[in-house]
Amino acid sequence: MKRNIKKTLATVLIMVLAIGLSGCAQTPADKTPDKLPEVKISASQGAGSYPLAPLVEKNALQNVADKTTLESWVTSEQLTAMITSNQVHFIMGPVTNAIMLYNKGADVKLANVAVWGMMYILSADDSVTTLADLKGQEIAVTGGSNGYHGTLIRHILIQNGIDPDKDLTILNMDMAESSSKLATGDIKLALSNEPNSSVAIANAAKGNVTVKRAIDLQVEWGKATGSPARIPQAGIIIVGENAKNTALVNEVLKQFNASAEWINENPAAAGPVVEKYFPKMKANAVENSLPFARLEPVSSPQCKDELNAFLTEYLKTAPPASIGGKMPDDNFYYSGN
Amino acid sequence: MLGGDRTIKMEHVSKSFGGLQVLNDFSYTFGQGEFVCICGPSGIGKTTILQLIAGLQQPDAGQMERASHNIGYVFQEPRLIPWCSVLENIETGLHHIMPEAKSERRHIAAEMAYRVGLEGFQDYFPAQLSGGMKQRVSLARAFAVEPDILLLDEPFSSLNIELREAMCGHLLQLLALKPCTTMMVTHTLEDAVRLADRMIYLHDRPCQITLEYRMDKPPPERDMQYIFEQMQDIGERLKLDKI
Amino acid sequence: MTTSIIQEINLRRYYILGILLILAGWQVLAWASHPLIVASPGSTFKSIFDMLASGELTDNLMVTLKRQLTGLVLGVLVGTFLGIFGGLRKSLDSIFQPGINAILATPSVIFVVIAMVRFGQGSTQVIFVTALLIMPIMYLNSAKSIQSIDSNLLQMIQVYRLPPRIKLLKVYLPGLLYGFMAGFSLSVASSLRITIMAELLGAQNGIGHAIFVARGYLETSKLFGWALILVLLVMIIEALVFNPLQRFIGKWQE
Repeated sequence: MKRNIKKTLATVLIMVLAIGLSGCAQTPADKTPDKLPEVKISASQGAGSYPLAPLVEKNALQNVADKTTLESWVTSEQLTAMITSNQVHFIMGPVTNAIMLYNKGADVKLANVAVWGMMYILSADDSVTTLADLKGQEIAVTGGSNGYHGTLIRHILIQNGIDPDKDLTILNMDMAESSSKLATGDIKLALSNEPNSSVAIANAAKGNVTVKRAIDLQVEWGKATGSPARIPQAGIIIVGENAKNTALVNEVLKQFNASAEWINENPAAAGPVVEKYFPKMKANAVENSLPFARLEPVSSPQCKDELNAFLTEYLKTAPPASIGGKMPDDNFYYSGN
Repeated sequence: MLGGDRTIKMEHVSKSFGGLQVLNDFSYTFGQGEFVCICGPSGIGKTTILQLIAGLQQPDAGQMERASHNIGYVFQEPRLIPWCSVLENIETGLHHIMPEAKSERRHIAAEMAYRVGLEGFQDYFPAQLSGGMKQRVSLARAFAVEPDILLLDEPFSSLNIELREAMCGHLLQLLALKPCTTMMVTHTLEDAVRLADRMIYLHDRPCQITLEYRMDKPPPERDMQYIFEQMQDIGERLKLDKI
Repeated sequence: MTTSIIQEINLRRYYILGILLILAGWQVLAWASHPLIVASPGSTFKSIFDMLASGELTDNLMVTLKRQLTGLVLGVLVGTFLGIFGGLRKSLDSIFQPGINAILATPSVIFVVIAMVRFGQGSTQVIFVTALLIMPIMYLNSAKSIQSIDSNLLQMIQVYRLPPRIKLLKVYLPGLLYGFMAGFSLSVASSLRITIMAELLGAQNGIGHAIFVARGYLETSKLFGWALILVLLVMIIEALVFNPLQRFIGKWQE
């Protein structure tokens, strides 16, 4: 109990100090802001996180921070906790999660969209190549039919005249689980991200099961909605007050873009670097996934219209609650000033 | 007062469990109305003798000579039916003797409960009773059947000295009221000297009777002095015999 | 008599005090936390009333209770049936034991995934998983209860020559009932937990699914609302089933 009181007091003191210091830092406009001792970034398991690895490896943010640390997050609870308690400066994660958190009152902004769709329907069955082939099948989707991935598939299917609730079965299964079930032959179809698809294909091959990326969800989305074959999937989320530190954010965006460009040009060299910082994303899988990852970062103000168009389409099938009740307003987008 | 032949003869009885020969060509006669204590180290075969008498075990060879009797058996543990009340537990043996007479059974059971000092606890469940009370239920159950043969297998071993005294008292009172041929297995020489007419001491494997000893005073007349002397005497004889 | 009633009233007072303390602590925690992390009591109660008004609560509750009950009945029937045989025959018990242990030791979510692949999503899967996980509880309790009508007791019965009819009525049936009650009172509360767990992943409705969606949509006050409803449900089950059964068999317990 006593310790808790001490802790609370200490927290309050630190907060007062922090507020005081940030106030000091803001006053002189012409002075360059103080260099941060550390920038913390938390990243999900996905292609959007690739560029962060070389960025940390080269200490590319050295102009704005002494060091950069990278950690991984997995569950949406972790994401919420990190953001509400300001544990990190930046997060790499799904755009829809960011929108939902923003609409629910969390202090976040979108800095960019880094990945424009990396979702594929993996199939252990050669005969499945089109959406129509999904009829009568079971498909494993993380989050189930009402999750983000499930809603995308359902929207596409509905546009193609297929009833997602009657013509096929969507099973709620996380990607690790569905990948292993693909390899053992328990299921034939699963929706997967990069680099998980590469991992699943490689694992299945070990057991002499051929798994392929049978359907490119982005292409089908484009066809079904009359838009480009792109889905704004993951990006850099700025946590809290850090959005005001434009020098920091701009540098992060600049270095992230440079890093993404290097990775796309040097997939073989990028693999080991990514694996070093994200041990679960194996070098080979990373390298093989790049042609499918659509790692083409676009900074926030420029992606706003495309994101809005996507959401408008998405909400034709998804309930408003799935993005927190409403379209994100302009404040959601980091504008650089 | 005693009707029928209540003598129990064990003639050339052999019994083994697995490879373990407990009895081999064992013969002994328990006289009518006698109280015999069976003493000896644990695992020697005392309980086996009681179980053979009760018919719970059959001899491998030899003969058990006994007429069909009402048997009362007080086991080492109370062995009460956990979900039956004190009264129902005492009633257990009466179902066979008087299957139709429900009120009669109740009446007898209630009287027995009174005799062992459990009149206020008739509707209690065994779990609600102390160890001593449970053993008294077991004793009441045994006497309820008006046994011709009473078998007691270390009935006091789990009780402290005070409870032991009380149980001894109840036992002697009940025996005075309803005399029967009694065999009691015990660890404690003192119990034998206080209660029994005769004591046999078992030893060796397969077991032999090392010592047979008769008490020459009736139980009520045995005082501390007498008990002490008898025990010393037995102790000395046992030492001699073992050599 | 009167003193015990007064005591009862006093105890009830403390119980209410305990609840108020929890509410106060909860409110303080809510003030100190982001609403996405801890929903306040007010917003939680509001979400419960909203769900009541929209029918979301009653609909999902009914779906879940129906599945729970079906799964419970199936699991209890199969478990007790097998348990009787396992209790009577040691050899059968040895055959069943590995399977029972495997079911108990396996993280239950694995069964949900397997059942989902086999039965698809929905009631069949949920009922199957509930029955499957209740079965071992009932098996163990009924087999144990028959086995624990121990040889000592049977010896005693043999000595006193208890007639077969009385033996069945006074010894075997109550013995089985004893284990059955113990298993059943455990199963009732567990089955609710299992049903909801199975619904989390493998259903399109029911409380488990509602919790899954509320979690996915960051509807913290709804999530807290469901948690509160579950606490109440468990308390009701305890008061109506668990406690009376425990009191009943408690009299026998050594």
